[in-house]
This record gives sequence, structure tokens and C-alpha cells, in this order.
Amino acid sequence: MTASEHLVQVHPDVVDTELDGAETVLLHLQSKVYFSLNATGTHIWQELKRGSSLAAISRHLQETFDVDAAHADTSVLALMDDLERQGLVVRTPASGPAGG
Amino acid sequence: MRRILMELTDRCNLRCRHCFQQRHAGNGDLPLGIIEGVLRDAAACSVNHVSFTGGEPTLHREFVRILDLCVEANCSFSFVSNGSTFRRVYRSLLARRQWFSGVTFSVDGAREATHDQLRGEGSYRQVLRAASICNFTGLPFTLNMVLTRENRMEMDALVDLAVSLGSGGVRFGFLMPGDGVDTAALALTLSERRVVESEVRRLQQMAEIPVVMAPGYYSESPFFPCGPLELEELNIDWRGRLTLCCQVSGYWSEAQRPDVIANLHDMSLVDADAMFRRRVATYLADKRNRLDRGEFRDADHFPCAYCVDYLGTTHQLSFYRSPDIPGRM
Repeated sequence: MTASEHLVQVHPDVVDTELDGAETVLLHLQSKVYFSLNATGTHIWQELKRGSSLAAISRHLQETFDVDAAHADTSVLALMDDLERQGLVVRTPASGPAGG
Repeated sequence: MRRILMELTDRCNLRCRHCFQQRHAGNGDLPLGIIEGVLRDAAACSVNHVSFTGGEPTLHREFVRILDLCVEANCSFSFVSNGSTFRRVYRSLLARRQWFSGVTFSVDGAREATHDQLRGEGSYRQVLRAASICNFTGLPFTLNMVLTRENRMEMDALVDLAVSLGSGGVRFGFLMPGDGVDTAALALTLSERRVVESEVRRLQQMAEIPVVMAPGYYSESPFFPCGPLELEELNIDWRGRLTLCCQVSGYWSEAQRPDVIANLHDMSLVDADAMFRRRVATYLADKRNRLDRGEFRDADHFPCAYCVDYLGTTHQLSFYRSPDIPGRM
């Protein structure tokens, strides 16, 4: 999972509102545009907010929704691409291992 | 048909700088028994709509029960809110959608920093979360801004924000002076209000959504459009009293309160409404007399200023009269 080499964080200008744990509405304070996430997207978003890595989010999806690793990786990376394109998350390179 | 403005509680979970100090320490809810009695008499008083105010009306401990009482009384309902509790109540509104005509969210800055400076840190995001819920679920909402020195430059931006959020409209209103209100820092002078009003008229021409002014703006006619004075609106405060209007409710200390007309703990809404009609008739006759005597001054063209002056002289009247502080002409 190549994206696991990056840290992805929720953009500070995004207001998120979870509805019944099944859907989430995102509002970007700069663009004033709404976005919605379904149940899977909501799950990924919550993990992102907890600071989980993309690899950890993928593993969590596999356990929660009983999907294989390839499917989970694809879902996470596709959503990250969408979120990043809309400015809803920011991706920064993960720092390398200490030492050396 | 007529409407009731019902102050459900004086409790609020925010500490806004432009709100009355007693609200900051509020601890009272309008008793459910009073609400039941009022709604029982609603039809007899030609009332078919109830608008809940506060404090933060959703903090009333029986808020959902009160919505049901409205439905049982065949009254539609709406309310004003700071949005902080909306995630807790929106399902109750969806379940009664047919009777719910909309919520007005208080947004006192188009920018987060401006709003939070007036209403407290984090409150901007809270109210935008509430707007998000409305947009996503189809619940109607509008935005209301109390105009102050700190946000008057953001009127255009607020209308843009409202359009982006899916708001059904924007209402601008003026700050009411009173105990605990940071009047010197926040209130516009009466002449500044005139300028701001022309800005609102410009926005009304340009905006994609309705833009309105709350009562209190300058009126050429001494007999300005006013819900209570046209007998279209009854205002009930959280103590269970029928008062002249909601704009000046909370303006005076409890020891003064010249705006109180009847106590609904002691009489029915029907009887209180009869007293209200007589009080309005006296008010209008007094105003005609004042006009005939040539005593109607320029500041009196601001309806709330006129009423504050007419109903009782207090130290706060200086807001409208002193040349040294905001509010002067």
C-alpha cells in the first residue's frame, strides 16, 4: 500500500457532522461546499481523525466489513484521492525511520 | 391568522457579548402547564403558528413534548437557535416535518473569527454543523445576524455564506442595549444604522435569497410595520407572561418591566389577549397624541427606541439619547 508512506490528516478548515453513525456531511469552510460520506467513508473518516495510518485504516476496514486486503486498500486509497482533490485532507510525507 | 412568540427558556449554553446578562445566568423554563393552556386557546385567538425563542429554546427540558403539543393544537412551529444542540433535536423535527416551518440560526459573522469573537470559541463550527444537517436532511433554515461594529463589514459575505449553505434567507437585526451587553464596543450609532439599512436594501436587490430586516429599523412612518402593534403577534416570556413584544423583552430589569401585560398563571390566553388588544389601542392613541403635540423626534422613527422611551425611562435610555456614546443620532 504505497499511500501508507504518507500521513493523511483532516484539513483544519473542514467541519464534519456525523449523522446516526451511518453518514457524514463535510463542509469546507473556504469553498463552502458540502460533501457526504457513506457508512464506509464515515468509518474511514473517523479513523483518519484518530490519526490512524492508511495501512491501519485498511486493516480496520478488513476486520469491520469482512473484505480482503486488496479491496480495502483500493477503497481507502480511492477515497483519499477524492478527499485530497477536494481539499478535505492534506497528505504529508511520513518521516523516515530514525537513525542511520 | 396570528402567531405566538414563545420564550421557552432563559437558559443558554453560550455567553454572547451582545446578549442580556440575565440570560448568562438563566435558570428558568416556561412551565409546561402554561404552554398547554396557551396552545389549548390558540385557535380561539386565531393563532396557527408558534415561534420558539429563548435563551436557547431547544434546552427546554420538554422541548419534544412541546412540539407535540403544537401538532395537537394544529399549529405549525419554528424556532431560533445557536445550533449547538441541533444534532440532538433534528430527528424530532424530521418526524414532525409537516408542522415544522424552519429554524433560524444565529450567525454573527461570515468569518469564523468574527462569529466566535462575539459568541464564543467553537460556536461558528457548531452552527455550521447544524446548517449541514439541515442541508443534508432537507429541513428548512435561515440565518440571522445581529449587526454590530465587529461584523457590519461582513454583510455581503454573510449573504454569500447563506447561499452556499442552502439557507432560505438572511435576516439582519440591530443589537438591543441592556444590562451586560457590551454596548459601547458593539452598538452602531443611529446614524450608522441608517447606513447599514441602505446596505441591506442593496442586498435585497442583489441577493439570490430573501434578505430582510428585523423590526427596529428606521421607519419614515410613525406607524411602522410591527407584528404586535398590528395584533398579529403575541409574545410570551419564559415566566409565563404576555408582554408587548419580544424585541424589548429582557431590556428592563425584573423590577421594572413596563412591557408586561398579563400573567398567564392567573388568566387564560383569551383573557390576556383582550388586555393585549386594549393595551395596543392605548399605545396607538398615545402615539397619535404625541404626534399631534409635535413631540415625535427623529430618534422615534426607530421603533425600538420609541418603545423604550414610551414604556419607561431608565438609565439605559441614554443609549438612544446621549451624544457621547453609540446610539446617538
